[in-house]
Amino acid sequence: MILYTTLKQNDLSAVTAEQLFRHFSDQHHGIRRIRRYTKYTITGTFSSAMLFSKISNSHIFHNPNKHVLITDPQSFPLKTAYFCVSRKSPLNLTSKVTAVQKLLEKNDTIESVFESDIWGFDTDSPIDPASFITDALISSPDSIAPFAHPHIHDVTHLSHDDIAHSILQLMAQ
Amino acid sequence: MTVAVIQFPGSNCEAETLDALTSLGIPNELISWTNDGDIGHYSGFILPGGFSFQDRIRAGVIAAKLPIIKRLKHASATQQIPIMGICNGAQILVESGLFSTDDSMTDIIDLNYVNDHAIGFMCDWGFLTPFNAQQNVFLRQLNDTDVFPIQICHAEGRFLSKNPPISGLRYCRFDGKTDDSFPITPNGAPLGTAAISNAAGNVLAIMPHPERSIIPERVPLSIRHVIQSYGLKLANIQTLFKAFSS
Repeated sequence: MILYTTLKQNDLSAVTAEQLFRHFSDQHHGIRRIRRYTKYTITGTFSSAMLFSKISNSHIFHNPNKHVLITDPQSFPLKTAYFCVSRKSPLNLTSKVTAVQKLLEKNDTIESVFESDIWGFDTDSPIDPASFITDALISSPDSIAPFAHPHIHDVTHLSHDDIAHSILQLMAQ
Repeated sequence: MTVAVIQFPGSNCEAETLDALTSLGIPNELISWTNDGDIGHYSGFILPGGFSFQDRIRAGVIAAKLPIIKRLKHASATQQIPIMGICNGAQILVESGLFSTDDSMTDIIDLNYVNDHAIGFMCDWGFLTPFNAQQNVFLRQLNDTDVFPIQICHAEGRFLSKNPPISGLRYCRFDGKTDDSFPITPNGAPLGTAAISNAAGNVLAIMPHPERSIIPERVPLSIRHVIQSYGLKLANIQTLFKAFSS
């Protein structure tokens, strides 16, 4: 099961990243605005519909005062370019595993909860994802890109369809 | 010769760092991350601990991309000026690529992770011992058998490197025996790495806090009892700062 959350207010990490490109880089890559989402991947044996309903009523993945637990693909604007920054060796969020396990029925189990970031970029013109990843996303000694560290992160381009599909699939259950 | 302590938004250890330098008779000055003047006249730099830019995106990464760090990297490359990064300062230096051995980022300080658990923030005292001490300006007053107590205080202190560091500090027991398992190495760092040197030996990124540990009365009683009970002869952590006065 995949969940997405985002902040209701301005995401300060995204704002700071925008300012980094705007004020401290010669190459803005045409970036007008940066958005940030959190993606949780939950694995195990359970009914996704049941678990999503219980998660929605819990504060395990979102604080309703601060976060939106995304149920509508329109939360991801269509013309934004999305990239997922995930760990090469995912770290299992064991505290969340324990919390989610408590929501489940007796025979259901949670194996893992992995977290990754999705960064969305509104740009002046369409970008080439491969070169954007190299030039604007992956950190290096000579670039201003802050989002992914090559030693521990992988970066993949996500289409809006990819994201919408996973949300609609969850909602349909 | 004055040592500059660089303050970023969110730094919170600059006062203690300045006090430590003053107590050791080392002239010092606090400078802002916005400083765009000449920094070539400083004899050394310390990046203090804290939470620069709230650890947004990744601890130290925003500060690492700022102009003052670019100038620091230039000073390091051309003049081998001594530069110490403490805790968040270490994270900033590592994220800047100062320790990279090629064009890519080869080092990172990752979150504390022990036995498949993210253990979060930890604040405790431990012991450190140098390895290849002669290869770094901050460590060369020490021997590889020296041990000293130090305060550890971080949530992201696990050094991960593409290549083993050439010199640095490792977590150890009170008797100097290194052990990369918990609790001797409290954060899961491979090889028990607590500090690393760059290839040229003029930069040290250290995760524990030497500036908090130089006053003997600050060492917890429990540690002092161990030292007394075993008749340990510990190294003087103040020697770490001697590179700034030589």
